[in-house]
Amino acid sequence: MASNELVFLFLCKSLKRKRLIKIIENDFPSIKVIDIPCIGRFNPILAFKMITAGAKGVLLLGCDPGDCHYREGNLISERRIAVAKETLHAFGIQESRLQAIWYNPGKDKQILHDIKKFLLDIASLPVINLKTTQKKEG
Amino acid sequence: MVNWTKITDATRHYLKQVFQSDDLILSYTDSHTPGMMTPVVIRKAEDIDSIILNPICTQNLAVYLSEFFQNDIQTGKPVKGKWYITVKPCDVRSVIQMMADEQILKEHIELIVFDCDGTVTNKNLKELFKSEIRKVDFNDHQAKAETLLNEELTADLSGLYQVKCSDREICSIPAVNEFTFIGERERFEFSGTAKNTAIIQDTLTQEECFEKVSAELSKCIRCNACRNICPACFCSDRCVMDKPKLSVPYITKEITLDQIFQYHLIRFYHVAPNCTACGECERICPQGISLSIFYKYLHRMNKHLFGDESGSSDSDRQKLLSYRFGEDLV
Repeated sequence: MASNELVFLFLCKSLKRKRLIKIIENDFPSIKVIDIPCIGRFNPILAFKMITAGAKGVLLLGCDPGDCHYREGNLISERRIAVAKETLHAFGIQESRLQAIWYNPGKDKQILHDIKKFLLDIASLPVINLKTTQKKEG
Repeated sequence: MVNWTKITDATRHYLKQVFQSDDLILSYTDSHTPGMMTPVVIRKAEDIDSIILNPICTQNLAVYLSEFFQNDIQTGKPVKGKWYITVKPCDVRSVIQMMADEQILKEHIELIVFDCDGTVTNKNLKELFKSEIRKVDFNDHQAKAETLLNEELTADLSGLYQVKCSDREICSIPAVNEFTFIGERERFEFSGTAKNTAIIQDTLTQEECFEKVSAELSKCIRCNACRNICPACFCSDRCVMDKPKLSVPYITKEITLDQIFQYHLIRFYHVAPNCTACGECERICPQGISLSIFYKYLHRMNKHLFGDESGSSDSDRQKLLSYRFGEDLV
């Protein structure tokens, strides 16, 4: 798959399984997996950077509310992502490019199913690559 | 109906009565440029007579308060007395939101709200008279100007007020804080003409909206003026845009469209929970970018997501910073 159709997937450490990552990287070559200690550490600034530089979407996989290893990381993250999505919408960028899904550890099949669904969601969206777009003289 | 000489006199009179030696006043005075006011900090009782209030007092003074507060912390010598601040009704929310975000101490601040029918920017005033002005006087909706060629011109201001002056919600004063109201009326009432200000994210499709946003933002020169004037952007020396040596330099100061988009996305994401739609970023922009298309949408979003309008309570911290375990989510 072309590199301009890149999708980034942030994975919580508690969900991290070598086998799961291997399956994802095998089945979906357009996905780049990044694992972080807790999904609460995810900063939406990264998503803005990725989406405006040409990534098709950013998907976050975190633990179910109440299951967080750090107690409330995923809950804080949920609010941040809600605001970040609205910010994207205000700029005319599709909100569906940034999504978060919550899981119990051990539901690998569900995870793979939802990743497929996410990829279908964003398949028809155009790539926003502002890096190559020339700035008009205003 | 606002008589500006009476309001100026009443403000001076009130401040002379309450002012004590350790206090500090933040207000407006005449600048060297005709048709433009400048903020002034007063520490002596003699200087109170320099205060002038009129419809070209466009600046939002709330932005200076956090600077004072941070200076207090850094020098370790806090101001002992009270801080009096003269504000327009539209700026009251900014001060209250800063109290809620613990940028200033509630006990320090005393609000003096003066009556207002609308404000006119420097740009609009220049367009109105079409010649160099030496002096301007205001009375109600009338402006009397003296040009450099000693001509006397009068003009009506009522059609020239800023866009935000036609929004009833922005003008309304939240009923939480005590303040002193100065004006001929007993309390402030919205008297402008409400215009239909549509939010483009609702009226246009997403593609059209993106095109419009790109066209607007391609004018940006990354001067950071919108960041510096914003009362909600208070991380003055810790801003993510100013980090000189990031190991991954993903935020640079280039003027390319992707960096401009990132700058504005990050800025509006950061101020979204405490933006009070005061409109200072749009007024200050040297390129004339209409930033209202973003802050209007995000201000309304704030109400939808978190229930409260920003700037309506002085005790609730902004919702992104204040999560407590067991609290309801979005």
